[in-house]
Amino acid sequence: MCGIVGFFGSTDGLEPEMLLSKMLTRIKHRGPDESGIYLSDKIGLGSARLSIIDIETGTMPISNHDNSLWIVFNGEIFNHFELRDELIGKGHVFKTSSDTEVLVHMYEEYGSSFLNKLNGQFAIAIYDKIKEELFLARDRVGIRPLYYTEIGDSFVFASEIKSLIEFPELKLSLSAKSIAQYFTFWTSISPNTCFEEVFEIPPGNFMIINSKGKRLSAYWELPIYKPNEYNYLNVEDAAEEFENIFSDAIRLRLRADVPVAAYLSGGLDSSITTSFIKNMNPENLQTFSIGFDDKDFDESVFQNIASDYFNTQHSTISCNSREIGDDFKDVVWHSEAPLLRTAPSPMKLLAKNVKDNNIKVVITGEGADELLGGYNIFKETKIRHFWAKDPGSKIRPLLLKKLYPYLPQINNSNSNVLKMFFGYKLKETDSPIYSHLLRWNNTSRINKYLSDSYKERIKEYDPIRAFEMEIEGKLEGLDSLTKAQWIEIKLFMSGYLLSSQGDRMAMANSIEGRYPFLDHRLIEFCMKLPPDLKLNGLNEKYLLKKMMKGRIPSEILGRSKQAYRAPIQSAFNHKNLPDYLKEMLTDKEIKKSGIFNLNHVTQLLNKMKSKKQVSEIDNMALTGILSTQILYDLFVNRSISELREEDLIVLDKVIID
Amino acid sequence: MKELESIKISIRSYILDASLTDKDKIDDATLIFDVGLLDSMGLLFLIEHLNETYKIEVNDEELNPENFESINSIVSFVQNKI
Repeated sequence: MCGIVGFFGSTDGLEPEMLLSKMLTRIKHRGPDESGIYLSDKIGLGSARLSIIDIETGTMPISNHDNSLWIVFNGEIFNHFELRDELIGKGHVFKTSSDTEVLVHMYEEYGSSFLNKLNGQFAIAIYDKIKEELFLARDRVGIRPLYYTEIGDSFVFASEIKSLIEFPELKLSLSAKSIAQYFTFWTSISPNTCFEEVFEIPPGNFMIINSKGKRLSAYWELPIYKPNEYNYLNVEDAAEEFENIFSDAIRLRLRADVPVAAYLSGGLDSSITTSFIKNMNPENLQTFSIGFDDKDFDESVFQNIASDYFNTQHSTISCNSREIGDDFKDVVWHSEAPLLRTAPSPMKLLAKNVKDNNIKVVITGEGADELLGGYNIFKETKIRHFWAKDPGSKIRPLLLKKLYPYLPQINNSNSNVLKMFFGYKLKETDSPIYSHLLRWNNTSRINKYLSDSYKERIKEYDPIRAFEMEIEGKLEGLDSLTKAQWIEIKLFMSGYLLSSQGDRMAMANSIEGRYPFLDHRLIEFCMKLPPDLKLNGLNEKYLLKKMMKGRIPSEILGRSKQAYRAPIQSAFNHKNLPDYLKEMLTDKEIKKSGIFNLNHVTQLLNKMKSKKQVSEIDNMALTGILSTQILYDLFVNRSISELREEDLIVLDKVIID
Repeated sequence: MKELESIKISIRSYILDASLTDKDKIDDATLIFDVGLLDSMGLLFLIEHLNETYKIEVNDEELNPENFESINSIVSFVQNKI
């Protein structure tokens, strides 16, 4: 795991070596072990490396045999041994045993189509000296980040946006439209980020930049199948094949020259990953979990059941509201995005504990909920579809009652109340975004807090409508679960879960997460399953439960799905709010950034102070306002300290061409 | 009459606060839910507010949109209950 940076274009007037050092220093948390650069009069490439494979000779940048191709790379290629053998068979000669060198030869052999052969999580930059061409690529679902911007004649890229700000003359500003997207979907619509003119390479895409300009192409799309194309109609056959692929996904992800540990959350998914790891590698597995002092959020009981059952060397820490508040500035600095929930914070604390135990790599269970119908939104969609067939029914909406046990207003509701809450656009079942209409409509109320000038910048722009238009026709003829899965994976998983809650919080502590459920073979397999094998009636992750019966603790197999959440109101309680966060919410700072309506913010803060219990939207609005204020302060107002010479990383490898 | 006016002022002020809306954009007949000033969750909080302020219990049968569609209808609902 690493961080990469670079620029392409004229280096006139730049101090390129210093510039690359500064850009790398901003992301040295991603790769604290060593760093290197490649420089010519056309291009600069930089890498900060966390050594996991080929610790001795894998220092980047690395080139092919005639030094015509240079690469910096962030991530892992899990099938690099197999690819190396394939290339040796074709006459390629290797200088190191690193996976990075395999990539540069793969590119040489196959061109951009080599991406289809990779099993991994990656962001890649390769410079072709002969063609004077830069090639950037990102893994299929966006586990590893890659951003770019253009300034003057220069194309600048980096693993994190905070590196870009070191480029001379680059001034960031927040994008009002993107903020409206974040305040609706929890993420922006790719390739947008929350900053104007800063974009991501979308997951599953590559970009070629040369004198003619830049060209973006997709090499992989999330596969979607119509009902007549489903595979595996019975659960036993499906479970057998799932197990074959998943075992291999785990086997590949245990490859490392350092110990690999696992997260154990007390839920189904991480219990499954742990069970498979233990099967393959029974000795000395270290597992990690986080609990909460606030019992409403805590899952320690189940974590202990799991660690006892699997007999792992388990390390757990407990998180309280105060720590979430205290660390929130740093969480925003790392996530580089507006946040509506505090859930990333505990993930960062968890990764810190992993680091404190001298572990660099953890296997984790993300992806199972998306692929196998685990989330409540899938059940909600199913119930709403069922109810829409008889909208007058008093009984059908009662099914919604148990979906959100943490919302007391719903939990204690009668049929009329449920109808009011869940009945929004009930009959629009033909809409491709039917599953998410209600949720997005509720969340988008946060946009009411925007200032007049921001509202003016957005004008009539409606993120929900814009997204609906963007995907028009794409999901036609698909089952409602498949549609909802597609939206959840494309937007929420890539844009939020794997980023703000995943890569960024782990890498803030130099920890690499590995996601066996997101092996592309498994994604392709799951998308082809009939919906009933995923969400059977209202029983989520049916296939996994069938497959794991008797192999994980029955308490975990039988428990209902608990959404992972973290406290908000108590974390941002005015009495113990850290000074910096208090300052970000003062009249002066709200006016200075100009993003929010001061009266509305004041009103919200008063409500948070006076009321014991506030709504989910109020909690999300406060988190959104606070995180956006911090983003403005750090990235636009640049309250961060300038890097001094003594702060800069030491370059272990410098190639000047 | 005076009481009616004070209920109206109080409810108007609650709706303006809860919906983050300027007072010139809403009158007493505006259909609160139709124009999106409040959503269903907003209705639940409104009912909680009426309970706290006027000690009114809203029972299931009364929980229909007609009773809460505008400031006028909320005021008359409250008046009938107290």
